[in-house]
Amino acid sequence: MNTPPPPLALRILAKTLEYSGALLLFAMMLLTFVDVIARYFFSRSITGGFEITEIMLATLIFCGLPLITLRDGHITVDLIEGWLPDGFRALRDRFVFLLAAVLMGYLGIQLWKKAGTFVEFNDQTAVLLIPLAPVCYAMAVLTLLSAVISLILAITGYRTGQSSALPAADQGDSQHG
Amino acid sequence: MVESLIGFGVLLCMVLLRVPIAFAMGLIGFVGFGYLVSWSAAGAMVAGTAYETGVSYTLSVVPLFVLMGNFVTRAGLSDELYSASNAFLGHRRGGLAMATVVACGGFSAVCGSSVATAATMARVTIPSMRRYNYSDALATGAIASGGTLGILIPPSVVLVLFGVMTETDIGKLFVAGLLPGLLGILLYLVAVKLTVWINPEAGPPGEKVSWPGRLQALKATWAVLGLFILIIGGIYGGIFTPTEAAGIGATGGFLIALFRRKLTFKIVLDIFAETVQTTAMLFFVLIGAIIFSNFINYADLPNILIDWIRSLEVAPLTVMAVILLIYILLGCILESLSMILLTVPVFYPLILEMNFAGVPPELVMIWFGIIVVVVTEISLITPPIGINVFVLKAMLPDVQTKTIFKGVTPFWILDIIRLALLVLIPGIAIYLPSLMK
Repeated sequence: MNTPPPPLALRILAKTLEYSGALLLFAMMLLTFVDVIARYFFSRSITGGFEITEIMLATLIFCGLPLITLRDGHITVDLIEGWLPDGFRALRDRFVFLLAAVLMGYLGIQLWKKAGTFVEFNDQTAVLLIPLAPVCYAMAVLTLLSAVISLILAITGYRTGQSSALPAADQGDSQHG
Repeated sequence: MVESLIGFGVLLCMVLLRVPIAFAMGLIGFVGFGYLVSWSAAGAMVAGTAYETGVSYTLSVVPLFVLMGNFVTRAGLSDELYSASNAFLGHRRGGLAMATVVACGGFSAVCGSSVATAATMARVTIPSMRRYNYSDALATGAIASGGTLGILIPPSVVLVLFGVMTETDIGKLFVAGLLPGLLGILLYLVAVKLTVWINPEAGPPGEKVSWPGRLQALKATWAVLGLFILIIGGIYGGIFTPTEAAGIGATGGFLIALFRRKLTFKIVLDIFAETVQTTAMLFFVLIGAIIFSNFINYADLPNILIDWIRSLEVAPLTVMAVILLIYILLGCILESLSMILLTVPVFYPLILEMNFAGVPPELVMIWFGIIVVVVTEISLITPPIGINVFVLKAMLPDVQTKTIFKGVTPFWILDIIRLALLVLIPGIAIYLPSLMK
């Protein structure tokens, strides 16, 4: 079964997220490295460096969420896949994507509300006084975006167990334990 | 109690129907919490967990160590490691398989993932073992098992997540993995010996390398050795925190790959993008697991379990044996990381309550962490879903899965022996961390 090539909008979206995530990670690596060097060789550290790291980490994992949704990249157990009839699996795939869409939609809305309370109390980080609301809004938007992607996959009947919904960049092996 | 059991049951069914583990755990945790407390509290808990896990400074080690692993994989360090260990061991019967085990151990010292270690070493070692007519069973068995060392020998992504879940010092957990990792290598060498002792045809000897040649090959591994000593030595000596070590390690891996001219702009971008996705995948499983454990804790499962075990008045080691049996069985159906994240919140309060001979209370979590990781290593090569076996199957489509599982068997048996040794002689895991401040 061949999937049609992904629409341009999806490819642009994926590239944008890949570049943003990559940039954040690169910045995080550099920041940690420079911070250590500065501390041990020049007895200084980057003020509030850990706060920047925290914010970058949160943004980068939520940048990854739409990407793994798009590429069926969540950890799953395929133990009984071989025994299930194909028709059942096709229906099941739609249902699972729909469920994921609902769950991520709910999480997105809750994160949006949480961001609202950050605005209300003007919450910010302790040292650099970075406002927290934009971070939480970004998380909410990226989660809602993933929900929409999952909904599209449910409607179009995207099948799991295929290589990828996108002509992926080199995906490599998953790195978990 | 009933709520938790129903929760576990539904979770298992969902996971088997291929609902992503992160979503299954999150949903059950949310529903259970909402049912026990209130739906609005459950909504706030879910958002709070997702946010707090995202902005956790401790967890920033995860993407950095994954990144380091991806860079060293691309840098081709695996070739030098294999040539060096081969120069010392290759001329023995089964020597190429022994060299594979040692090289896997070496690679684990700069890579925190078992799947990546097995996949990388397979690319390097399979061609030479085939050239020397090694049996497919021994060749694939050695790689699949040797690869499992990735999550034990530091750095290790699994140990980081265990540390976060149980609030255990990650630096100490890393250092604690060293001796059990070495023990693993030694016992795997014994497994190779046993295999060729039973069937000498399985692993013919290779060529002997002279001493100058050996030293030359050893020298070529300086990059791996240097990086490992820098990060683990730094953590052990209290010079770096694990996050700083991870930052140094990732930058080091980047520079090594760069100087070996293995990087183009596109490759660098791919490595970063791949790391972002792997990190996201790990974090969402972690978020799901924390939501689930919030429900389990609210349902008071850990305390019910503690009271029940107390009423039974059984020896701590018996309890440990039962827990390990549960892990080995769960490892047959669950993916390794989710198995750890799901079970650790239930078991660790119980372990903390008990007194084990020879384990000081402040080190008991370190010891348990290593034991959990070793039992997880075993699950990576246990049928029917040992993932390392399937990594090799995917790389060598002409070899039957059955053959690989057969080749893994002697290694599996020695893994069980290693597990027993770690439980009975806690010092193997806790001696080094006990020396740290």
